[in-house]
Amino acid sequence: MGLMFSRIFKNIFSKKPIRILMVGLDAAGKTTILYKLKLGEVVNTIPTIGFNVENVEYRNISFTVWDVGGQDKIRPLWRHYYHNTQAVIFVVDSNDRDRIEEAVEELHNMMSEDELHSAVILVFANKQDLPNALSREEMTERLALHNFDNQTWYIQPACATRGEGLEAGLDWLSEELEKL
Amino acid sequence: MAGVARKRQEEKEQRVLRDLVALPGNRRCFDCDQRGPTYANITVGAFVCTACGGLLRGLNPPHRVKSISMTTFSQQEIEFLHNHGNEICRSIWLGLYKDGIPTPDHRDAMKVKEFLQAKYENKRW
Repeated sequence: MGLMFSRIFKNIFSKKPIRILMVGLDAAGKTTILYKLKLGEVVNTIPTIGFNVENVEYRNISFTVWDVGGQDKIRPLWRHYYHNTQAVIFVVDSNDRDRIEEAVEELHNMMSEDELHSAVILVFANKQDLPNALSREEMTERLALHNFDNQTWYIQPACATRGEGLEAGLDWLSEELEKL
Repeated sequence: MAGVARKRQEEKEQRVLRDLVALPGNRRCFDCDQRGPTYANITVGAFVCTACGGLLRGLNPPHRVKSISMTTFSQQEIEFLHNHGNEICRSIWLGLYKDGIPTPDHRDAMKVKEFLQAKYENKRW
């Protein structure tokens, strides 16, 4: 009986949209990922000023994805989106070796914030189609993901323009979020 | 103290950039000729509009564009822009461009994209 109740309870709650914050350096591919997930097609994006928000239905879960602009002077605005965020999608351009350090700094600064301490982290190692892209292993190392010992994280290589890796990332997210 | 100095430095950079965009040669987007560029293409050293900035990021290999008002620029980047600018870029990227070929309509993103691919990826002109 108790089990039945908990299942019903869970079902009711699973209808509630999951709030996801998608951030990363400028030109990492956040907006392209958002619209690829939402519309299934590649749109011509312009650099995001402010944010884009879309509801994405995936496997009976409704995600509300906030895609926030990543240019350096507007990064301090990210923190205004932390409240109630259950998952963070951090998008990195795997091909941009010069700015990996900058990405690491932003990622670790952000995840040390109290409001995000229980959020799960999905890293999209994007732009895997480009010849100079770092692999999943290299990215894990460079992004120091193993330092997140209290947080649940996962890294997924992706190519947003071809749609590769995006569903695999969401699969992981839905599994993790069901455990909560 | 360090914060104040940094702020001053940033203000100075902003001024230099604004002066650069105000030069006659830089007042229009290098890629579609719209007035009032808001982005800098620091891969080639030109000033462009927001829409072309978006398209340039999608080229192969991607160009790096930075918003003039929403990013900080390094000293090298500013010097690079100073030493290039749209006029010099025109002689590099459009050196063989004949006046007979019309610049694409900036409202047609597909056309602009094809034009940019020919210009930068195939180095046609």
